[in-house]
Amino acid sequence: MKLNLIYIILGLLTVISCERDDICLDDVTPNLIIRFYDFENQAELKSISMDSIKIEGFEVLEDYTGNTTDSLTIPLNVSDEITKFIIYEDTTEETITFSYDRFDEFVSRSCGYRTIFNNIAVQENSDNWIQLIEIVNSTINNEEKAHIYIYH
Amino acid sequence: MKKKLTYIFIINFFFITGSFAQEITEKETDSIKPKKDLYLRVGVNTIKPIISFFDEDVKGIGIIADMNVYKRFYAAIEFGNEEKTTNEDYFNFTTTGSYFKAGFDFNAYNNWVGMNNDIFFGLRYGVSFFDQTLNNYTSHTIGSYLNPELVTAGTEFSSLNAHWFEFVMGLKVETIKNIYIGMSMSFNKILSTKEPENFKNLYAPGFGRIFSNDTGFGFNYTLSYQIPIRKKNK
Repeated sequence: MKLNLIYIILGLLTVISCERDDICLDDVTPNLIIRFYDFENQAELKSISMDSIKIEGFEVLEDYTGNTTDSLTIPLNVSDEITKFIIYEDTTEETITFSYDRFDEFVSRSCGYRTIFNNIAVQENSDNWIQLIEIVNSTINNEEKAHIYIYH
Repeated sequence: MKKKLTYIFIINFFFITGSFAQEITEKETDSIKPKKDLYLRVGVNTIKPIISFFDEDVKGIGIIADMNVYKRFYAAIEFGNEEKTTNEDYFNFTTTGSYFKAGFDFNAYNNWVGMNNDIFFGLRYGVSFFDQTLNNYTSHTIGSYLNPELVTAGTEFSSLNAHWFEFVMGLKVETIKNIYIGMSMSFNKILSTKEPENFKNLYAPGFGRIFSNDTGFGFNYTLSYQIPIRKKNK
């Protein structure tokens, strides 16, 4: 009888053992996703070819150097209320400044806090080739869909 | 190190099983044995002061007491206070608070007359009341492009609590007359907690680190003094 008790306790210990939680597997701070559309035919995607892109005050984003693409996945500055992007293309410097509200949301022990962005808006932009900027989703809390459409 | 100790404990079980087997033959003579002494053992948790001596992020004190109330069963309590700062990859927080545990131990060791050593298994109910302070954090971004600034938050989450139960096993050995050195290990499981808003109870005084599925492990060294209350066996 007492022997059984010991086995029950031992069994319980093996069944409800600890779960590791020191590897971050959850979603962290999302990037901003921008898609480029044709201004003339607004249902059609239209690629841009750029020399480079960067956030003002930061290095050039290496993934997009000398790239032709119809979508950008770029970070927003988590330490500031605005982020100014500069897209270099031949002789032009196209700039877009986004403003937003930040909220630091707790995820888990290993992931810590992530920043989500609310009420994203275009504060100002240059118009060398950009015709229209449409905010599709003003809350950036995932990377499932595009948040911004740019028509050119 | 921890793994090794776990193995030692598991191996211990085999010896305990042996001691149960012996007990069966003894049982018949049990009724004519003289009534057992009654005593109270009071002690301190020695692992916490030792850790706080080497690690300034940890401060704590724990008082333990147990009493042989019925046959091989001991009533046991523990209470104490803790302050601990935990460093994680993306943030740092401090937990301060008190805890209280009550339960019983079953002594599986067959002592000779007059001896009072233990190899015990026990169950505890634990409760703690505490505050968490989020000292600082950095937002977790993918890659190293942004290199986010450290946010000095200092956010206090107060009046939090946790309730849990523990399976305990360990031993207590009389080394000098009436002085016992003990060692125990516990497996803990949270029953309920009052969680902070936009943070999580990742540590609770008396419980230790709370793993993601609300479980935890405890490890203790104790030093206790035995006070005889009733001596009937002279």
